[in-house]
Amino acid sequence: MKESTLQLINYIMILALLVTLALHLAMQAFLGVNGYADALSYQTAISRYRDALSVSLLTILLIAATYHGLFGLRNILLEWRQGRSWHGVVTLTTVGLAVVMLGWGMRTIVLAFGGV
Amino acid sequence: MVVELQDAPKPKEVTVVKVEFVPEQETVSNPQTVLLRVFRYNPKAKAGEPRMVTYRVPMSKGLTVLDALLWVKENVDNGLSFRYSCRMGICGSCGMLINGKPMLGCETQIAELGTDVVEVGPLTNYEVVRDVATDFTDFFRHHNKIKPYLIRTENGDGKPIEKELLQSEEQKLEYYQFAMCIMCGLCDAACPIVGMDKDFLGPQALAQAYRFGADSRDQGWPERAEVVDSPHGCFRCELAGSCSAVCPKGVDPGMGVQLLKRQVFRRKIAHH
Repeated sequence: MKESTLQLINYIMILALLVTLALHLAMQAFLGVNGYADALSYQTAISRYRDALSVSLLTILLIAATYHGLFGLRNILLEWRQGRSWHGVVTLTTVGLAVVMLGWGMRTIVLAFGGV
Repeated sequence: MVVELQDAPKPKEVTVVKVEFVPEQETVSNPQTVLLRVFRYNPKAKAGEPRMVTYRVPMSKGLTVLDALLWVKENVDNGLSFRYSCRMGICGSCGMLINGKPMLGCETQIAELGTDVVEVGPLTNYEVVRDVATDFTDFFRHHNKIKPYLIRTENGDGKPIEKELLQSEEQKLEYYQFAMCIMCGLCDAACPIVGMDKDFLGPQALAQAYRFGADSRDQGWPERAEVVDSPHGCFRCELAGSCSAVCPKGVDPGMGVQLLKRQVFRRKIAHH
């Protein structure tokens, strides 16, 4: 994939992060049932995972944060060393990490949404 | 914007050998002389370790760092190596590290530096050929990669261009400031990414890629895009801005790279 395509996706993910993170924090602080004091209680946290809108928001946040973070890591590693084989190792590592992070995160979201 | 480059990697400091040339037994505080601390190193000499050598140079009005180096070469040490040509900021040959900052030796007057001791060394991010002279092979390789000339179908077909390629003032202003580049390489010396990634095209080559890509007479975008939209192309730039801070001709290569990124996106979207 071209660098410009990866960068373009990164810009989109940054915008998605800005919106979803702001909404996520707002939901934690202001939109909770009993306000900020109750925001981190078990019941409030679980109730968010049962709400379709909240789950969609968390899913987008997970995808955007994973891509943005790993894209940054990839850039740092590619600056650190150069070479075709290193490029391949870095790409495989970041894709692998993305699969693990998205898999684990989605598993949590889906299981909580399903009431497990 | 002023970016201090004190943290830029400096040549290895080893033994300081003081070889002073004192014409009239002047002291350090004498305003009629200046101490020039010059990096000396010959990588080909087996026993040659990098070292800083101090020379006392007579001060005169308008004395530039290049003048001082020439004085040392003529009067004290004719083995001192540095590169220069026009002596008036046009050829871009005398780029060097002056008091830790990439500058042109011919355009930098010693009086304006405001220091008793002037430290001169080779540009960072380049291999040392000898003393202050550096190897520009990679720099020109990167410059050639972006095809720094107007590409037109006539060139490929071998047909003559039969009409003038007129431009409006607006079309010329799209790229004009980047045409002022004298290829002195100071921007690449200041760039932290060039220091990390030797394959990174660097601010000079990337700004020139924009310069030709933005020229209404050019038709070579597809060829150039392959080079600039690569893992070591314009998207490696992290906007440190030090390239623009050191340019002696007032060119803003940092902006050139950002405009190039925009150009890549625009043409990519237009293509699809």
